[in-house]
Amino acid sequence: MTSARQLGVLIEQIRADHQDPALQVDIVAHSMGGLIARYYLSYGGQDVLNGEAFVPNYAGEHRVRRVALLGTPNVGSVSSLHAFISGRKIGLGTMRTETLATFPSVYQLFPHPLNNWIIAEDGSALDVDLFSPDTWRRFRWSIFDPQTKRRIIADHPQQGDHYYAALEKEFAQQLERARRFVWSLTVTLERNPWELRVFGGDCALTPARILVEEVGGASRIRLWPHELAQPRPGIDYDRLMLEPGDGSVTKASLLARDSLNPAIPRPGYSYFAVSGEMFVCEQHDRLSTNISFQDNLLQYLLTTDL
Amino acid sequence: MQHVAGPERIRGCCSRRAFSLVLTLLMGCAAAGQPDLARLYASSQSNPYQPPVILIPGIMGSRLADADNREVWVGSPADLVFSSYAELALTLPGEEAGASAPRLHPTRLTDTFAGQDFYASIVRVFEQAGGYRRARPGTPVAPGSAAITNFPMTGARTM
Repeated sequence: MTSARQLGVLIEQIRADHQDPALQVDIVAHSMGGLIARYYLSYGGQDVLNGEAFVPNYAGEHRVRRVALLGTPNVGSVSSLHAFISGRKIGLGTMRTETLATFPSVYQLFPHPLNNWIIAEDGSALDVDLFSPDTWRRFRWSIFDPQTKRRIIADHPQQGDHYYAALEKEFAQQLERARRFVWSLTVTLERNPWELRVFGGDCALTPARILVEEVGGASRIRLWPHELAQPRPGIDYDRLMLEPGDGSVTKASLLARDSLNPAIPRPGYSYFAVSGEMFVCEQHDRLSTNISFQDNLLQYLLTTDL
Repeated sequence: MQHVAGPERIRGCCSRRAFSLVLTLLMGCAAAGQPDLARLYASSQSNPYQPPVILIPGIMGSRLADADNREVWVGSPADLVFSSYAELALTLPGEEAGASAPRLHPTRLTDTFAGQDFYASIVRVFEQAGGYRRARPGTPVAPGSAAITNFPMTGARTM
């Protein structure tokens, strides 16, 4: 948990810089930064992912006053999963899946196990364990795609097989750590000594589920309804696959909900106390530039009598 | 005798109403505008007890450089076109870091790139409207001054 540990070190340094060992800080965290912040609040710099017991130490208590999460995928992002499987488009190029597979944090953006994140062509939910390597082998995703595997081996002359075996082993380990990570953030805290608000976008239709389409004997994943080769008549794929969000993170994930109906309580597995919510029409990467968000953020942080 | 308005008088009446409607709409649009953040928060800049802020970016939201301080991420606009960023791949356990997998360190947040704002405006808003001053870890901060510290990370490459 390097980033969370580094955040803890930074907070202590800031306290020293202010000559105040009791100083509290505010945190503004965008996207994945919010997951780091939430982890730190509960566990500080300790690594709880090597076991199955997630015991919060409330490191954020007395150190953090207010937190603003901006576009944070609190129960994961299907878009991130798809980018991991297919390669992430950057500019005119693509960061390959075998590069992404070496990044621990990317696994931790995967959809929460209890979310309905994958469906079949008929719209029915598929019972698939995303955090099992067998799933990735079954669907031939990422480094388990035969073409990708050949490329990886070819890119490492003389020790290609060895490198691939090491990558496969690392992949399985990171999947397991990611499984534990998402569960570690779904431990209901006994107390919430800090203020936490969420800010995000809810105007853009955002992938909420990937669809597995069988085409020519092969399983193809679809992120957007228009990608289906043979859509079935009478099925509203828009409604099944997309939800309001910021283009990358659904509103439901930002709010850690499985229903957008505010009258329905959030599920216990994802609950964390939120003192307020605010939404803007903005794409994920542009959220911090939105002036309405900036206005409301300053109001939140500068108000003394919340 | 009941007075009946002729065509010219009806057109004049409708023209005046249409003009009034358009004018009302224009005034409404002009009034909406954008919030003046500096004016809104000018009076709050004197709070001596304002906690410092840490700004944490999103995944890949920090610039990364190698041991020679050559920026590898985000790199240059040309990298956006030609690079697959393969050199960002982390060394696997048991492997030695070499030229193909240089050790990278975060330098700063990605403020702008290729003409697009990422975190530049939010930092500017904190400074200009919120009255915060940019702080660097390890540098003492004067009492009573609100500070903002950026937290560049290796991001996706560690957790």
